[in-house]
Amino acid sequence: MEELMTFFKNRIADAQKSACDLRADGREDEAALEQIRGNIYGIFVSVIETGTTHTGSPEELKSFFEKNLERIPSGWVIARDKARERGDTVRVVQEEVKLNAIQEIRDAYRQFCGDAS
Amino acid sequence: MTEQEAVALFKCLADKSRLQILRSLAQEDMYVELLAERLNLSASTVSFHLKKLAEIGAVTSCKSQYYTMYSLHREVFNQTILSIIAQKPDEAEIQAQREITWKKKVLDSFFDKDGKLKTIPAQRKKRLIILEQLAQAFEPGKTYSEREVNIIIADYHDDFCTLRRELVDEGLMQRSDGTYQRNIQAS
Repeated sequence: MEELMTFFKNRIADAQKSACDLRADGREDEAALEQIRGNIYGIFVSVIETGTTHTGSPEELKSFFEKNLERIPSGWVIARDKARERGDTVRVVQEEVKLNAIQEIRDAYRQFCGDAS
Repeated sequence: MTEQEAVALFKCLADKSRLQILRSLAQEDMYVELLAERLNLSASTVSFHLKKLAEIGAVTSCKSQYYTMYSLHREVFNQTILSIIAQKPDEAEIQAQREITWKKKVLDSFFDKDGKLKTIPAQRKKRLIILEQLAQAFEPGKTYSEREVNIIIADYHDDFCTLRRELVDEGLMQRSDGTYQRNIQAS
């Protein structure tokens, strides 16, 4: 989990820098999308921190993380599909940013912690 | 152009990516993928910006054989900035705009992002706005059984009985012989 935590912190720093650069370049909305991306990694830093405090073994921590990795984005797919139905492209893109970040988190979890979730 | 529309236009234009998109569209009509390639942006980012530009009427779109083509709405840009800022807002328009903004605020605070009603407002003025919104779910002129009305309202809130009664009491729906119709005059 330590490597995963480092990965998340790096991704948060990347997103923050990217948001800063975009803002300085006069691209406020794209900066906001980067901010959203960074926030998703931030949520999973909190998941690991909470799991570390409230679980007793590495296996329990992994199970706690996997449950949250399924639970947290479950509403985002529905939100994206509903936004697509009503032609709300702005919301679709925001939800896709979140879902892309989740996919990256799944891939990183698989890479660093060995399990496919 | 109203004052509110002018504010929305200037806000929307204050973005480098959107200005680049408009610059490209000023040269020729384009579809999302081509704009994305030319501006080195992802297609979803271009769609995001085009949606915002379309909302303020800066671009128009039409479906061609394979793609949706986007065009610059030149009438918007043929106005001078001076002509836009020199327009005096009239009081009725300001009042109407305030009313719309307030209604939107009420709807946003009582409906969640998925369109579900979070709670039934206690204040009658706010409740009326919510009920007017619910009434839109019923087709004008169509007759509904009580069960159908309940099912439709239940999509928004579990307390469909209260809401059904309120729709009738507020004159947004008519009830006769156990069937319901949306009252067109009231909504």
